[in-house]
Amino acid sequence: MNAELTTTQAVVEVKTASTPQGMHHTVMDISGEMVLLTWLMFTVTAFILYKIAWKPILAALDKRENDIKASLDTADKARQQAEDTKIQCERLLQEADAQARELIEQARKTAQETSDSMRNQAREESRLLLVSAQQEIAFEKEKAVNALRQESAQLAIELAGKLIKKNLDTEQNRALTGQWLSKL
Amino acid sequence: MTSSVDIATNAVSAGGPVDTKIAVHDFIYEHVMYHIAEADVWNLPFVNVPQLDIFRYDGVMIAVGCLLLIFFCGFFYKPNKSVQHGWANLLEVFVLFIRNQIAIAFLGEKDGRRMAPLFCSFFFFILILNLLGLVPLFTTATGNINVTGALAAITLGFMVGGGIYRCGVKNFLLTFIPPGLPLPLKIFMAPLEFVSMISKVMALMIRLFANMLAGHIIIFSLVGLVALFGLWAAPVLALVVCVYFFEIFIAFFQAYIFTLLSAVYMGQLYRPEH
Repeated sequence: MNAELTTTQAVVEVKTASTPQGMHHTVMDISGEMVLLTWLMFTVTAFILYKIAWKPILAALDKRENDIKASLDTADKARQQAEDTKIQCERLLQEADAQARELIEQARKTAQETSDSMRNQAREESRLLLVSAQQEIAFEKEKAVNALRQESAQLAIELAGKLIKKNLDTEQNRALTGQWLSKL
Repeated sequence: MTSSVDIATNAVSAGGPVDTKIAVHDFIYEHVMYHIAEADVWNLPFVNVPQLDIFRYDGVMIAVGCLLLIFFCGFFYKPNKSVQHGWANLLEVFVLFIRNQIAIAFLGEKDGRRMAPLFCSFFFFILILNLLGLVPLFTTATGNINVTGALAAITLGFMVGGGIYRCGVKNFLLTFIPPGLPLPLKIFMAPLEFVSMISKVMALMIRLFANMLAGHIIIFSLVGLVALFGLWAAPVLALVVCVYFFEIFIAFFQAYIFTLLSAVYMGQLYRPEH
């Protein structure tokens, strides 16, 4: 009861104390001035903030977004390019390797062929030399034999003439001697 | 405020006479009532501020809030730096969130980007007024229905103006007539849709106003318990601190809600096909 009483008293006291001129506005009162003031302050603040904050911030955010997107694109492109280059490098290396192998093979083949041909040539030459030497030997031998034959026949005739001291037909004797010699 | 309450509490717990108790009760009640009922008095305890008819304390709070906001943005944000530091970074986070999650999400890519500055202004304007209300001896300008009403009216203006600008007068008026209904129902529904639009804005006004006022009434009432019942009610101060921190959250949350719902309502009228 006491509490209720004091509450009522307080309300009365507050009302009387706080309304000396009887011109007070509560938060629930509709006040055109307050509305106008809010509009004015909000508009001015919004305009100033748009100029000093929102516009540059939003522009910076857009720019950053675009920059990041562009950087990512560039990085992607660069990576793609690097991959392409790598593949190309590998291909070139493989080609070079194959070419080198081919060259070596070719060189080896050429060397083989050269050595083979040189060897054959040498062999042929030596064979020819041998053949000519043989021919020469045979020819010389023939010549020597003939010379020897003629010499010996001459000698035999001389010898026979000397020995026999007989006037014989030289032609006949020579024929005879030749006959004998061929039988030898 | 707290120190004066402490003095009053000590007086009560010392077992003073009954009229002291009544005086303390009156003191608390007066302050709670002032907070709820008086928008034009700077009710400093024990200090008599001259009361002028043109002196609106909530108006002063708005001016202080606006100046703080402009100072904060102008001082911390350096437009020529490509990478921001400290508070400007936080500002960017909020702006980015408002642009992407509120403006673009509900208004579409083109309108959202164009309207983002308005929502940023809404959010920070309401936020700074809410937070200033939590500073001891200051009042909450957003706890004044005229302020929230003015803000909601701005939303209404953008809803109607933007809707007409975006769709033309005829199409804007057609949004009040739901398609695919028989004629009698259309005649019935059109005023209903109109009332629905107005009531959305009214709800916007009352939501912010009531939320900001309620938190303060809770704190004043809890502190009043200590003044009334003495030290026995002292543990309630822990609850007051909790409510205070909750009010900080509410300050952010209500600023967000107001901005978000403004975007939703504008989006409904800007893009009636959705």
